[in-house]
Amino acid sequence: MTGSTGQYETHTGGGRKLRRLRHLRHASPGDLSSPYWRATRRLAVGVVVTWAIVALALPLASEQLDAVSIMGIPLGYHFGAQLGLIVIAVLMLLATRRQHRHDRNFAGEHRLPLPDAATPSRQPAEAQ
Amino acid sequence: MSNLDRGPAPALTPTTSAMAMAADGLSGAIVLGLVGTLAALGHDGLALLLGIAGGWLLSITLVAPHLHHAGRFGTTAFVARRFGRTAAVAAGLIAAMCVAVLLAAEFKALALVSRVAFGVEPTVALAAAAVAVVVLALAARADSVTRMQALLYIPLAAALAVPIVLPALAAVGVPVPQLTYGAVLQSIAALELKLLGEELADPVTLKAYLRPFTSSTPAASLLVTLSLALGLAVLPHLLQRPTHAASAHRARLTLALGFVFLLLAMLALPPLAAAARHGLLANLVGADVSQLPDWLRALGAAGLAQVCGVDAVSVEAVRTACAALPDAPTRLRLHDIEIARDATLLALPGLSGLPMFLVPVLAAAIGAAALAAAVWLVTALRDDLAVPGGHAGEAGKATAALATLVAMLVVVAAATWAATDPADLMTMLAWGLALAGAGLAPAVVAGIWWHRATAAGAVLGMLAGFALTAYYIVATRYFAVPFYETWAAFSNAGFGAVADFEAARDVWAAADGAERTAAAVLLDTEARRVANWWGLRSIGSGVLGAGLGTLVLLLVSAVTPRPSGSARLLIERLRGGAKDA
Repeated sequence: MTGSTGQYETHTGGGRKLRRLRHLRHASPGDLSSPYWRATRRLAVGVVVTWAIVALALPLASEQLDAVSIMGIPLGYHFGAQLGLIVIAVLMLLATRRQHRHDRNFAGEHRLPLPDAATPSRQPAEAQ
Repeated sequence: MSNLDRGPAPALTPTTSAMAMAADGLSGAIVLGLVGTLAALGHDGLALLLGIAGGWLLSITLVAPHLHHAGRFGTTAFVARRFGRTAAVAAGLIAAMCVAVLLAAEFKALALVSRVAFGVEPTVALAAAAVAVVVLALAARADSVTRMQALLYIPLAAALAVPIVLPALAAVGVPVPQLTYGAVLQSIAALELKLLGEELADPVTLKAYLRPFTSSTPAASLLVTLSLALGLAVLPHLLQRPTHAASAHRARLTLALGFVFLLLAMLALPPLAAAARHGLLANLVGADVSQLPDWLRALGAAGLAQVCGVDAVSVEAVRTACAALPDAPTRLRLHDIEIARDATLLALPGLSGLPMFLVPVLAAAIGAAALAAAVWLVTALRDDLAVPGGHAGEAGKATAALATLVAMLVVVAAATWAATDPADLMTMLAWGLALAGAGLAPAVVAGIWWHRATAAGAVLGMLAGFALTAYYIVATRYFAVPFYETWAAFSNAGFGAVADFEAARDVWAAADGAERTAAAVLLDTEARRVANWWGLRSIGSGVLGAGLGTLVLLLVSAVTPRPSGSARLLIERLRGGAKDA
């Protein structure tokens, strides 16, 4: 990690024009993003969006869901009292497993993109 | 790397930490508050459960593992590293205030159970609890508190399971409450109709247990869920265990397992609340006024149960009060009986005819959970505040001493505030989480996910968010009359409520002497009904502050120079691959 930092420092010696254009480059140091971080971010966004649908949006439709009953419990109520909570627990366990797989896939790789190498070797991993 | 680390990895397994976290998530105040609120609000209370679950989920995806990755930081330590000293002081103060509010709820829960089950005076119980928490938090190390709480999880979960497993066993011969839960809910709906038919319930005040959005609008429910989730995701006492795990994976595992443990017990809370509601409707409403059960009189003596507007201390008092009502009921009607929300769980054995030995059993389990949670809140706060600078030697010692001092002040403030009985337990807990969601969540989340977030943006964002939510909570609770008069145009109160408020104001203006004090109390009660912005409940006001805080953070960060130096190093480290997988 300290190594990559050092290389980054030398790279910032570039001109002002380069710095202005830097945000256009995908794996630029200005973006501070690595394939590992992008994979992590994708997973996090997926989990949070799923949660927002399950825990924020669906309860708004409780009245409609209540038309159906499971074992005598209206579905809308069941959802808030049991089902939705169980879905969230499963989501957390799945996310944990998925992230663990990411962690292993990226273990030993560069922790940051190196400035000039366009890092073609990491492209397949990122595309997963 | 060593300069960013906080110390040697502890030897606790994810399972131990997870059980401790679950016990923390089932702290006395949470259990009593949730059961009471669920029983009172029915369907609308479920937004709270979804909010709690959401907090764990946001923590596991957006916060905890990343703080671990950055160097096993707690909330304040992370803010210190990422945004510098000023931001750390702001974050530390906000965290301390949020913890004080949550702690006050635990103290109140402790006072309540010792009053009901063991007849201890509230002031004595509060003082004893404060002393015990100070002593234990000073003496205990974080990992011993964790072990203690992990052990506590099992009796606590068992104590919560018994009152719903016993009836299921009696009804269908199988100890699975899920089999009878549906029947209980259906029975509640049928009883509501029956009582309305017999004029034992008031059609204006009765809220159908299974119908959604009777006590809050859909948007207000959503905001409550979101507000709880945001606050829970960034609070130091929930983050400390995962961020001290041996690896980032273990940090996630701790949280995920913790939630599974929590859920095992939390799934018992809606059935417990339904059982209490059912018992109230089936066994107490419609009873003869002169036949008050013993347990109700015990609650009445503790000031937790009122019948016909007076504390239900004796049959004589109640009979006189009921006879004095305009329609002089001879049978108890639903709106004649008022059992304090927070005492619902302790009233459950009496309400549904369960063996009464359950009351002290539940009280002991809940009291122990509340005490342990209080100790953990203080320990975690102390440890969270102690290391922001990460200094060694003299400076580190001074920071640690200051952190201990702040933690002790928080205990005193919380116990003092709890003695004034500010609100019901769930409201107090939700206030603490709303303040955390408004003050800490934008800065912590942006610090991890947005490399462009700057120190100035974080400081101003935290202060603006916290101030707005704190204003909303304090003003609607303690200064409802001026709040309503300032913001009357924003209130969503109906004509009836506004007319009641104006009538109360006229009475207050005309009264003098002792009458004026009584009129002021009435005026305040009426004002609290109408004082709001667009129907937003104070327990959901965290979203308001978080929104403002995020906006300020974005705008200020955009016009201040990019973070550099150590903040930049921290972001690189945070976003680097998983070396410890």
